[in-house]
Amino acid sequence: MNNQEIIEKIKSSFCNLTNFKVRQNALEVITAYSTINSKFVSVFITFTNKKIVITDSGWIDQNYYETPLYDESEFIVDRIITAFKSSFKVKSTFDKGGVQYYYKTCDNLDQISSTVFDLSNFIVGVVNAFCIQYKDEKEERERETFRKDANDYLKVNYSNQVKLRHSLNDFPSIKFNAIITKGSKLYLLTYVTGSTQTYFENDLRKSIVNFEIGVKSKYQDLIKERLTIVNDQSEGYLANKSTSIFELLKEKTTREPVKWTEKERILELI
Amino acid sequence: MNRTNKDIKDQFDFFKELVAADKIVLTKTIQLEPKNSNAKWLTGQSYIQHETRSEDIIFFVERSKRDSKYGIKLRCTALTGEPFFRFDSDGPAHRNDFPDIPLEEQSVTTPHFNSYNEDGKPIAYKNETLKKENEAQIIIEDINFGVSLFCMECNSKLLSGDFPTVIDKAPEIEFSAIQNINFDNISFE
Repeated sequence: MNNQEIIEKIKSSFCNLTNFKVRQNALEVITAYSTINSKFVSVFITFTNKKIVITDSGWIDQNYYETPLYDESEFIVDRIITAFKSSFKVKSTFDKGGVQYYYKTCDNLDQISSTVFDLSNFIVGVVNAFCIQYKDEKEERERETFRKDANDYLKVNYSNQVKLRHSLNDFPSIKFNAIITKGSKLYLLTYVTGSTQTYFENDLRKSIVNFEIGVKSKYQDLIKERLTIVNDQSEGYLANKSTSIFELLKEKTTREPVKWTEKERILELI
Repeated sequence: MNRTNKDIKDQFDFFKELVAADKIVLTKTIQLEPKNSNAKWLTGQSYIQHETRSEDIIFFVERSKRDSKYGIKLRCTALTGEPFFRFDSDGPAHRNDFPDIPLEEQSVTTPHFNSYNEDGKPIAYKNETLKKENEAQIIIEDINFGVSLFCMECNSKLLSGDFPTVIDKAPEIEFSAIQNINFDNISFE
């Protein structure tokens, strides 16, 4: 097959993919643009108020593209929609039923194709943005499991002497994973875990800051130990790669970090 | 985005049995009521009795209050959380995204059925009735024709041999049933 034949084949397939439905008051263009959840995007052409209006017919708002619903995505999807609206110069309005319509207008027939092209690209982008789960589920699960395991271990060994997710009175916004009280002495504990090096190191940084602020507390004379429990079984634990942050942590704590696989050390220290 | 339904892939024989075997729809008249999770939709349902399986199978009919779009689906949570067989009267075309299908044939416009292949991949198709444009138009406009077509396609009927009837509430918003968009209601800049 020569180049010309290949070119003709691709051009004809792309063209033949575009389809139409004549609706009562609009022409639906079933475009050749598809989304990652396997829907072809449709746009609707209508003549109104002496203008040619191309809309999504409220299909995004009514979830006709059947995108999954992730509550925590709303904020990020809103930002994506705002950016795409501005890039493609798409506007939106509401009908009387409260459904949001995304649209573009054009003045003459020659502009229709270009406008259909823009609105279709806009819809593909928005629908795809809705399809993605932004929350890192693996990370959430790992964090939750480790937090629970560590909490349980401390509760078993220190029962009502341990307060979980607790802060010092004078710095209420600085939460330590646990504060253990023995007699008049306080033991501040933080947990560090993460499914990637980045998440793990972010936890390390948080511990460093918390301890740094902790020593400024009026209770500093009562603080016996500042300890970090690191989840050395997590995938983000790469001690030889995170050396500089570990070094800084050691300056802020009173002991070497306690590895979870050696958690019995906690009982020796506290 | 991985659209494979692993439950169906792993239990494909169960899936085939659910679709292919004769089934009895237990409710003769299905009344559409406002849907709790979506104020713009009405919904109705019936239990289904399967010839050989005892797992709960539910037949759902849903209709948009603002246009004529409706959907019919079968759900069996013992198989998978998603509906395992569906009909869409309107809405976007589905892409059957398989390299062996020529690009121009990958688009399946509505109305269409949605099912799964043995790899658990969703596939859309039109049966012989839906391929005929004038017959498809009648199905689009009348939910009861749609219900009959759906029941025939998935081997379901009432004990009497008839098909269930959907009693549809009158549209609450002033959209006529066959109008897709009422542009008179909207102001564009």
